[in-house]
Order: sequence, then C-alpha cells, then structure tokens
Amino acid sequence: MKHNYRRSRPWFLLGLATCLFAGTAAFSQKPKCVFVDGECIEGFVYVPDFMMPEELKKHIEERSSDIVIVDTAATLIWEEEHIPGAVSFPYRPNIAPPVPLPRDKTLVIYCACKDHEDSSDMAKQLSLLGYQKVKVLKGGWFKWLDLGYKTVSKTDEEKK
Amino acid sequence: MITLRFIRELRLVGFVLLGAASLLGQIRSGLPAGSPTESIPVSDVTGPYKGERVCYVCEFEADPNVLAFFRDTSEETGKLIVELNRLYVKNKARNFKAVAMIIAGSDSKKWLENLNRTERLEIPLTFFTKGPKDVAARIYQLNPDVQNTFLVTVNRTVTDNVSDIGSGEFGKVIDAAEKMLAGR
Repeated sequence: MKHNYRRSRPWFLLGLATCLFAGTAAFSQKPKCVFVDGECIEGFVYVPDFMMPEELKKHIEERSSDIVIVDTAATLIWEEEHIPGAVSFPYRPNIAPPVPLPRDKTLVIYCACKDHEDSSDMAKQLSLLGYQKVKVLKGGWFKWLDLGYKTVSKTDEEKK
Repeated sequence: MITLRFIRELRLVGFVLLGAASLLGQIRSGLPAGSPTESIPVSDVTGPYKGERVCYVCEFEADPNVLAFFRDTSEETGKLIVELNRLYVKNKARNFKAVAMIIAGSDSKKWLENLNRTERLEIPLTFFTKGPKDVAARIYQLNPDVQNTFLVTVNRTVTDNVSDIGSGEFGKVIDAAEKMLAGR
C-alpha cells in the first residue's frame, strides 16, 4: 500500500511544533537551585557566619596566620584607615573570578554599612564561588571604631 | 590649492573635535554611567541615623536612587533639594530612594536642619564628615568647580550623570530617573 505523505504532513508539523514548545518551556524555567561550589543546592538561603570584634582583635594580637581580613571599602578609604593587616578588596555587586583571596584561610570581611550589607553580600558571593571559610565582622567598621580598637593607614603599614 | 580630499579630512577632524567637546560638556563632575558606586560614610543630619555616620549607598542596596552632591549651601541648593524630595515622594512606592550630601562639611549642619524644618523633607540630608577634603569627593570624582552632581543609580551602578544644573533644569534629573525606573 502506498503511504500518503500529504495526509500525514499536518500531523508531523503539529508534532514538531509540540516538541519545540515543550523544549522551550523546559529551558525557560528558572533553575530551582543555586550552584554552590559546583553543587546544585535547592532552597539555598545564605546566612552569614559572624565573628565578634573581640575575637578578631585577639587573632590580630596573636598574629594569627589562619585569617585574612578583607576591607570592602574603596581602595582610597582603605589607604586612609583600616583594621591592621586588612587587605583591600572593594565591594562589587558581581565578583568576577579570578578572586585574589586565599581559599585555605578564614576570610573575615568587614564594611561600613549599618546592617553589614556589603560584607554579607560579598561573603555570600564568595561562598557561591566555593570559599568555605568566610566570616563577617559583627558590627563592621563602626563597631571597631566605637570599641576604640587600633586602626592603621597604608603609610603606617609601609613604615613597618 | 584646496582639494576635495583636504575638505573631507577637515570635516572628519571637525566631527571628532565636536564629539570630544560634547562629551566633555556632558559630564563635568562625578562618576560616569556604568561605574560601580562605592560605599561612602557621611554624617547624617535629618535621616533615620541623624547624629551618626552612615553609608546611604549601602542602605539603598540595589534599589533605584539618586545620590545628590552639593558643593555648599545656597538658595539654589535649597531649591534643588526640595525638587529632589518631590521626585522621591512621587516615586517612593516604586522603591525609589534619594539622599542629599553637602560637600562643604559640618558648617552646613544648621542650614540643613532649618531647610528640613521649613520644607518638611522626607529624604535624608547629610554632609561630608571631613568637608571638601573627604575621600568621598575623590572616590566619586567630584569636580571642585561644579556646584552640584546628581548620580542616578540602580544595582549599585551609575546609569546617568547630571551635573552643574540650576533649579530650572531639574527636569534633566527627573528624565534620567524616569528612564532608569522604566528600564527596570
């Protein structure tokens, strides 16, 4: 029996359109997870891990080599005044790798925002990039100043 | 003898010079569009943190906003702040924010308090803690010869820069803010 291609063509086209629509719909769906260090984690909500200023002060006094203090302010502000030993890494809403911060040390991030907006967001971004030891300085820069803890300028540190 | 080629080259040079002049004329002070906005602590006079140092750039986070810098206090500055407040009131339901920062420093505190009292403003009025020498002036590339700079920003990025305007030209800020809000 001879197959009637003309009769089956509309069905073929309908099938093709359905496949295309289904495929597009599947791709347009938002991913239900957030990739953390290459792993897809559903319902990911970042909760910052805080470090108290007293604890950070102790680390500085003990010259601890396990931590790296990260100042999220603009480099010009960091040059004027910062927590002793802090490195300058200004806040960006989208951090692009490569990140010049070590992965094997605890990063203690601070900012001058009232509710740790910049430091918390940076900690979250770094966590998503696979940094596993990230802490946010509780109270940030202004709490550090209120407590009367030591600050230095870039020039002070260069003199050492 | 002047050839056709020479005239064409002259025209090209003219266009390049005109383009450069118009670019220079557009932005006289402040960060250009596309720049990220850095955190800058200022002294709050009338806002929710009055009497404290606070960073409104951080407070606004990714919300659409206008960061307004004024060289000093004057009648013209007052009029522009009132206009900015009006723009805020009109758009606050759209999560829009605004802040006024006086570069001159602590001498402007009384003036800002009076302006707030007489005009019943809703936007925070602040000043640069260290005055014109404050590092914020360098971070935001504020020209010392320019009276005012309005940075229209969203997602911590400048979308438009309007600077050195009179109170009659505030429409430029409104247009830039509307453009930003429409694009969200």
